[in-house]
Amino acid sequence: MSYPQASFGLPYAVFSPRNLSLNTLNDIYVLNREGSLERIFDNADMNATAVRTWGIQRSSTSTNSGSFGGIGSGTRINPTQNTQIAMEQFAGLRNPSEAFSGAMTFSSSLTAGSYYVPATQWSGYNTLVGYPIMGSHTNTLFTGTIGGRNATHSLTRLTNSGFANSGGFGIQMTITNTTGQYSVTATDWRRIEISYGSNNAGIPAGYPGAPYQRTLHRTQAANQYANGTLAFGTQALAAPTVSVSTSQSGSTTVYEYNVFWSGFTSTGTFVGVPFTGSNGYFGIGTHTYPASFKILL
Amino acid sequence: MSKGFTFSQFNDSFILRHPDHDQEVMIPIDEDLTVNQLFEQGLHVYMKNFSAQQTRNFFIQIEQGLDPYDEVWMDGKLYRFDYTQNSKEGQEILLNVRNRFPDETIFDDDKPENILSRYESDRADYPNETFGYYSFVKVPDSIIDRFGLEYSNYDVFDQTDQSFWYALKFDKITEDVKCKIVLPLSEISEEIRNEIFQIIPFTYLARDQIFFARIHNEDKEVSSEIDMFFITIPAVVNNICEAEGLTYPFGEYRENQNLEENIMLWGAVYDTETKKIKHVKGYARFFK
Repeated sequence: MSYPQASFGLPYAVFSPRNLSLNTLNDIYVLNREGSLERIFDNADMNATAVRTWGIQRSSTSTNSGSFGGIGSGTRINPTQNTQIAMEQFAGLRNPSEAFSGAMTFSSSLTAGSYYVPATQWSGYNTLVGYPIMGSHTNTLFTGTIGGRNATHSLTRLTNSGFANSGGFGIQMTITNTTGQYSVTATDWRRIEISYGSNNAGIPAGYPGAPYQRTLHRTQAANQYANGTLAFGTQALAAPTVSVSTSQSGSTTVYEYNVFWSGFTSTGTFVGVPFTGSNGYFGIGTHTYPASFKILL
Repeated sequence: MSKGFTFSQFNDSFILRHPDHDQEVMIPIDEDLTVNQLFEQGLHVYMKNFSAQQTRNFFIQIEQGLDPYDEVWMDGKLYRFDYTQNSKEGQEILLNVRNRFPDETIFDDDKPENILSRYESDRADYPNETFGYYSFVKVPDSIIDRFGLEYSNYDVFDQTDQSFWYALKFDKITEDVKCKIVLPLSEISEEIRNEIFQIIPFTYLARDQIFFARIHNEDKEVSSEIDMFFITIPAVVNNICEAEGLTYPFGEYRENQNLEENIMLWGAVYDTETKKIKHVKGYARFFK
């Protein structure tokens, strides 16, 4: 069977209707960044809330507003089951270009050593229980493909941590879902951006000309610009490692996607964990609070 | 030596896996590094994640107000329980040891996290039934003088006065008291460390969480046996036990998965005279 092919770069949604009946689209496929078709819905029911929600999330802001009722291309998809819906409404949908875009606040914490566990310093944003709950974010959910998994994902952690007064510091980002394992080899996101508003407090810029923005690339060390030059120091730190694993939350299996930008050797270097400060910082010194955060896909 | 890990290339990266764990680690290929160096980098992240997960599980239980206790297994047998002073069992042992050793000053009612145990073993340095009391404070000068300790750093993780603990071991029959002093890696000679790491490879451990303990008696003599405590996955310990002709602490590997899933720490007893590991202990942590 042949599938429709993309004529442009970004991922987009396509249908592969087989055995089309009154309200059944057997499969829905998305062309992913690697150029292969990924099945998003198996035996999809067009009347299903999940299919409607999926379409709404990929509509443009302009079409996803106003009144319902149209059935042509670019009309607003009604989220309510058993209301009018048409295939043409799904034409031209696009996968999002960013995820978890929102305002993030940071905090810091020191976990005392106990029962053979070293004291640990933390700063950043975290909602994972078992670690200090710190900071906040206004957009913690993303539905789509990231880390090789199509699901509703939660952004649960962006922290800088290490054992108190010792080496091994680094930035850890964690995304979780409850439906399936991630892939360490996924290439469906490019970088994260943290923008600080009016000052960067000495935090190296992500790009020349963007002094208030810090970027961390999926394939590059934390101190490296996209063009390969170094943000600071004379040698690139290690490129990030990706790990995937599972944990249990009660009876629920939680799938974790972790990215670790390593290389920091002390609390005082680059985005070292501050030991003091009422708000805590994801970086040294002070910066406008909160920062805006997003992952570019 | 792979100890069951697989390290496979995928495009511009290597992927590290172990068949007994669901964790996978991707290491980008750095052309300046050899495959062995990349493998070590992968192991570092793997063990760091493993340790972080164990620690996280521990703090989740603590936040729920539960009290931890450790089952300490050795040679395939449950060797002792370690209870907190806060627990009913800990209080019972404390009452007992205080009655028998009324002049000791280590006991601290303000430290509910201190640990108590009572056990018998076939270890040469604990020939009789023994009480143990672990105190999570900086070792006081009185103990340093009494046992003739001559170390320069007692901070277990080299954290500048953040992590201390030591124990007194009370022989119920002879009423001898020994001090088990817990020490950072830097307090063990490089020669001995290297001897141990020949048997228990450093690269397979959570490298920032290795610490040691030595036993001193009141004659100011030190035991030839050194305990090394470390964190790694059970498969690595099983592999080491097989190579050294030792019994895996939890019996047959994978036979007691509840213990393996709750492993908090491993301990190896290294004899500096025979230059061999005598025992490996597994500390499985539970809560109630």
